[in-house]
Amino acid sequence: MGNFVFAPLLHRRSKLIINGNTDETSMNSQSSTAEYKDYRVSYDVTSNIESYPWYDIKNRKKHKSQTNCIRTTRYNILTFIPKNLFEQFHRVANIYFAVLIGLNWVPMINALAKTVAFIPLTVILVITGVKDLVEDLKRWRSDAKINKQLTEVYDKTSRTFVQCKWQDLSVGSIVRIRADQTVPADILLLSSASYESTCYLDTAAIDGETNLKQKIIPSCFLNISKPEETKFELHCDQPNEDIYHFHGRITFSSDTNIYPCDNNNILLRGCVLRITDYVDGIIVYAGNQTKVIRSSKKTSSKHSRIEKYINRDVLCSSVILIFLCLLGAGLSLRLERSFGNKWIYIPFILDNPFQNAAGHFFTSALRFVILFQVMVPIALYVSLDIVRVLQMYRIGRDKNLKYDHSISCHTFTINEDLGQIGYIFSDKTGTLTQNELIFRAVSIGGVKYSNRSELPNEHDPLIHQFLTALAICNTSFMVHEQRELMYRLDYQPKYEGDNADDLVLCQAASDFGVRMISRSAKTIVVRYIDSTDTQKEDIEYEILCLLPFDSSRRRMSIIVRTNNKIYLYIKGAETSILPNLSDSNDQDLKTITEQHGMDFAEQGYRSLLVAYREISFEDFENWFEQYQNAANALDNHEEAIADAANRIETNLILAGLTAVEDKLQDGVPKAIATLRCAGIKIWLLTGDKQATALSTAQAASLINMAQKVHSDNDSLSSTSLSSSSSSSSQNNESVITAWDFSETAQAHLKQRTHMIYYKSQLNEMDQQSDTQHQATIDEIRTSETIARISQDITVQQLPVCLVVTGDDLSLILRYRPKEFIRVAGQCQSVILCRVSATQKRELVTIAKSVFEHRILAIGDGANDVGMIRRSHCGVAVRGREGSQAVAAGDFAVDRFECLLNLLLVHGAWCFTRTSELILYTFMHNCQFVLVIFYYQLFNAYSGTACLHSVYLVLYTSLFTVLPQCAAALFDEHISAERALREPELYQYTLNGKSYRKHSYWINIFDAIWQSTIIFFINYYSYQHQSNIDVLSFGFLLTFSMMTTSLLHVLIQTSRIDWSVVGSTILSFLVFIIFTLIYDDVCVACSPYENPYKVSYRTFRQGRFWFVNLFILITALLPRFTVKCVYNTIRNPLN
Amino acid sequence: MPGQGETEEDHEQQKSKKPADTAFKQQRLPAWQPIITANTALPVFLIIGLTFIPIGIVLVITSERVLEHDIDYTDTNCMSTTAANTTCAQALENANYTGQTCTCRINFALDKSFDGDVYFYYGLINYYQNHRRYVRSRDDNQLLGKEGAAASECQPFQKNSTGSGKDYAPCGAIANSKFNDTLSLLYGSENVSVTNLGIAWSTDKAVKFKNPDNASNYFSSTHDKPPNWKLSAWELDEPNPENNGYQNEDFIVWMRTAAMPTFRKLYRKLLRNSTFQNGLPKGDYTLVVTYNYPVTSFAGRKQFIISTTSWMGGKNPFLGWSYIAVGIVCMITFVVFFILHKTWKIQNRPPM
Repeated sequence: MGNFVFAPLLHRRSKLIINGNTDETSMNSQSSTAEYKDYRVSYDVTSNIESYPWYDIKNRKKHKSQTNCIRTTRYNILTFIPKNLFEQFHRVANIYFAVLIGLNWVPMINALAKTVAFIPLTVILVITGVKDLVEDLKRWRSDAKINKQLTEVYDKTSRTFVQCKWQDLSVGSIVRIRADQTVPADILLLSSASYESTCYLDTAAIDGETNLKQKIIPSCFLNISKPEETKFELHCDQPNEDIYHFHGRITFSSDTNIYPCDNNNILLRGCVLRITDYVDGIIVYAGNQTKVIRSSKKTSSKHSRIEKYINRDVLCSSVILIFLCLLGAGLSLRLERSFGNKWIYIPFILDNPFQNAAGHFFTSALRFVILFQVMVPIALYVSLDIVRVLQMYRIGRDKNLKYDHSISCHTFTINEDLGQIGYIFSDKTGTLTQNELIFRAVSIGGVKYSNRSELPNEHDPLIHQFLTALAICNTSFMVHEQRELMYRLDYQPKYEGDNADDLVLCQAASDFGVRMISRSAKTIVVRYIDSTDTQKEDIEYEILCLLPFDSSRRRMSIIVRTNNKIYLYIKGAETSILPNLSDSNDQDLKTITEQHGMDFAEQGYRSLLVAYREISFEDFENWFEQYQNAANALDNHEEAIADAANRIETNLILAGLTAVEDKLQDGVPKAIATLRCAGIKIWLLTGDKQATALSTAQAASLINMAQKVHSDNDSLSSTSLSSSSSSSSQNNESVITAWDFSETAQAHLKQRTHMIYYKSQLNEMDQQSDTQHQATIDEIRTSETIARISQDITVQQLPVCLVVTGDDLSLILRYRPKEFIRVAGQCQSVILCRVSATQKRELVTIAKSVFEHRILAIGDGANDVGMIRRSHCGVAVRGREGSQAVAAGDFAVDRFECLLNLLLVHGAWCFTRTSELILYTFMHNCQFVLVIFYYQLFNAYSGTACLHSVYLVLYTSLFTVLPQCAAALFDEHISAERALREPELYQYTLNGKSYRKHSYWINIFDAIWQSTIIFFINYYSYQHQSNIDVLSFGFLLTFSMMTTSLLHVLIQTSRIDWSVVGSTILSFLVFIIFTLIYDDVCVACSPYENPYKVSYRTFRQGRFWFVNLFILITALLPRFTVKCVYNTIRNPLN
Repeated sequence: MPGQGETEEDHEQQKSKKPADTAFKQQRLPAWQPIITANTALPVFLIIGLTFIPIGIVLVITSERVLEHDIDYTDTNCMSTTAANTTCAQALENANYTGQTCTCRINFALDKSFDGDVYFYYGLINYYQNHRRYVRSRDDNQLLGKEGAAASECQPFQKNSTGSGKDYAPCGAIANSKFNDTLSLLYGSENVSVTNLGIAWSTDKAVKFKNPDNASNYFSSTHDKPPNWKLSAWELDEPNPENNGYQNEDFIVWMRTAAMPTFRKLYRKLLRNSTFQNGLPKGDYTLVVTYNYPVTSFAGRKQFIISTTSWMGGKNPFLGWSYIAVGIVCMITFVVFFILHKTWKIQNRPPM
């Protein structure tokens, strides 16, 4: 019989302790003493209660314990309508419409037919509601499918594992997962069928990584054969979304020791078990609290810059609207009062204008608000949403963006920003490069070797240590171990692991004759093959401790014991290891190795330094105790471990250097050159060292270092700044000229890049002064350096590239981040080396507040996630580093190259298209409102619209919205070929030329002109023979507005294709057919406005056609002329 | 377009270099990219100029051929025949608009003969028949002869609330303020023969306006006449039941509310018989006005208008002159652009 206790003790949920009759006292005492927060899972097999699952179901009802049933739906049958409506009314647009409809119901205000006024809002609500419903149904179905999957759970009654649905599991259950089954919840591994006490996981569903991961059983369970029959308690973190970290402590009822467990012991929901026959585990987090489900809840709300413009112009329109309404109301009151007390005899004045003047003024102002409501194009936000999704859909279908996958989009609100990117913050590895690592060379003891045959025949201890380090100082493991083959000399296991560098180096060591042939959680067996390939020697290493790699430490080490000696092997970035080398190292060797590092870097190779040390037993024992404490800490766990690691990773003996090449992706040089021509400034942020970064930058045509120029004569070099062109590569110009660009672009690319190196000499002074003083010096130096660079940039004619390393960057970020970014923003390109993930994120965050232009961040790995999230527009490259970046990115592409089409073509298109749509909507609505306003001048400012209510409501929505939306999807202000061939045209959208501050006013003036023509030509053409009635006149105005607006779209689009023409014709047909039917059917649809046969009679008049021909041409003539003049004499780029 | 050919070539080149570009073709649909420059705009201006000026001339001539004679009879023109030195307007005002009737005779001469169909209008100026409150004060269902209470839109002329409590038939402010002057024309001493049929829209008379069943009872006992009316609706044209009640054409014409504060409504058509076979001959005429309709309270004017017509409708030279003006502007623009274009040799770089 089993019993579990699950109790998050914090908050008011502490009363949720479930059936803690045996454990309650111990738990309470524990919780009061423990600094370990709040979340605990207890397991006890002995207490005697009802059997599972009855027990669980009852408890779930009683105590709402966390079950494994997931629910991602937003509504249920009862809540759908109220909740959905509630959500929809969070939109300002819907509230605006609803308020106006409400006002329209007030009899005194009533401006439109009451029922007709409902149409637009109802349509919007219904469409959105149906969309939400369909999405929710999909979620509901997938939830049900997931919840009904089967797994095996430990039944405490029968003491066997029985089948059970996922949804019936809950925290504290012990489950058994068999090979190729999916893990149903976040579980702590208790036992494994594999004799190594490990298991292999396919985590593709979580992070997209295809290689297998190895998980191990917590050390405390290693010796327990049937953990499901013990009693223990686990304290761990509250449920969180961090899928890479987990810390917990296990206590057994039988002893007082505390055992740690971490992420290596946890199987996350959604992983698939491979190879291992089965594993057992206890559920730690279930259902909606699992890490995967929590991390998938992404809250991203990015807004494009264009929305700022819209808001600004909506404000202008609101002011105009208020002005018109107050003016109309005032004039109305004045006119009606001008008749004095004779008003009683006047047939058309029905209400006393002298009674309640304020109320009269107020109601008539509100009536005008209803009548003129489209002046504020709130519906624009709705049409923008729709258009953006469709734009994105079209971008997704562009075959030029498709390599293995087509582009995928997660954010649909920032399409226009793609046309306004001024800065690209790019990761290097995996983004510019392929992240396919190729082993190139090693440098051991000052000698370079590129393959095994170059190794000296005699045994060299340094080579031995170096290769051993490569073979074991990693996290790789072997999967298809065929034990019967293991004894053969040429046995070559296949390495698996999540670190690409590790795999390459491990394989390289194997090729060099030091082969890791077996690995478990505790031991590693390495086979040493002698140079003649005839003899082997297998040595077993016992793993004492593994200090894993992380991006701030930039190194990993492993402590092993063999032949009663303890060794520490370490490998990592040069800067992270060099300071920790022991003084006993040969200085020459150090220099040579550093020189080799430079050589490798100049060839674009990535290098890692390898070192080792021997540790005495006492030292290790002492240290290990400290380490254990750190590992058990729940607070600042990472820092504590890093601290502990620092203490042991000292006095290292240099072994050598590795060089691994990562090739540039196809098309990257061209893409970067094109983006540079487009005026986009590219910032390269890389974890690599300066030389590697520079050589990659050169190869990627980010910089153009023509020849070697030594900086000796440069006055600045003596100070904290040196300026030079460093080592050149041979083929730079020939690469660039091969591309087919316009002449200006070519010339731009041929310019040599002026390199500025940000260099501070602060490190050397570190020891001399106290920290307080040091901080001041740092601050002053930083600002001085920035000021010098700033001067240097302003005098420089050539394109400038600024190079900064991570150490300097951290000082800059501490003291003068904004100044630095402002200065660096003037450079053509910036290369930041040795940058950590946090620095990347911080840079982007600060840059966002400084730069005027939009920032795009592109990267592929988990270390780019912060940068991608913070940027205006985050692009993820689908690479080998998992899907973390893809999940965070607004767009995910296959290659860096895709940026070309995405920005220069689609971004520019989207920006111009959307700005046209916005400006047209403002213009078109203003034109409509002004026509109605002019009519007020001739009806005593009384609020007669003269168009009947249906026209009033449908004109700006159904009748005219289609062509402009078609244009917003299909218009191309330049062809795609030209956009790529003349990248400098990107400046047009980059500087927002198609939507400038005055664009709004130009369009408002055009609206004034068009409405004036439409109204007054109609008015004066019919005035003299003025037996025309209100509804006929209304139809005249509507028809003129229709034709003018439709033709306006055709003039305004730069590309006339089937979609624009088709939608124009369709709109016109909808209007005509609607009118003809309505005018034939509506004899008495409403008490007072029935346009029966109005249009039929109007069409028969000759005057009607001549008036409309005239209006059509005259209304559009100014725009046509201005466009013609503008296009002829002005280059739109200026 | 200049440069278009080059772009095509470049496209071809790129294609051969990079196979992915072929996909462009698949997204490509026939499209025309007109770039409005001086080159493309010049012919447009020329064509507009060349067509608008002739159209304008034709329209002006057509309008000039229409003959029209307006007589304002609001005040001084219309002296009461009963009271000396009183205009009919004053007579009504003196009686406080309580249904006083006044008659006046106005003599005038036509200098030209009005040939063809001649139409007689009454015109009202400064009369806001399009006022929001006014224009809604009607019940189209009632006018269709449907049973049922008058619509609330008719307020304050929905029903006789101070008296009988019956609904007004027809209800509403529009009907209540129906124009009720009687205008007749004498040619010398001969009555000009006119008809009051065919002046309303035939569709209105056939479909939109219907008398209820048992109309005489409806109008005389179950409903009240509107307060301003002297006669009930069933007494508008008693001799002709087809033109009586709601289907009276004068009433239908009035109910089609005018779009502008200055408007005219068709009053009568000339019956072309004997003397008036070819229209109205030139000569002396007398307009006899039975002046019932007060307009002075809102500074309104009343007119009697005699007009012929054309295919463009009544007299209105405005549109013709507008055509001519815009046509001339376009021609000037054309010339200016042409000269600029020739002198400056504007570069042919395709803009955006």
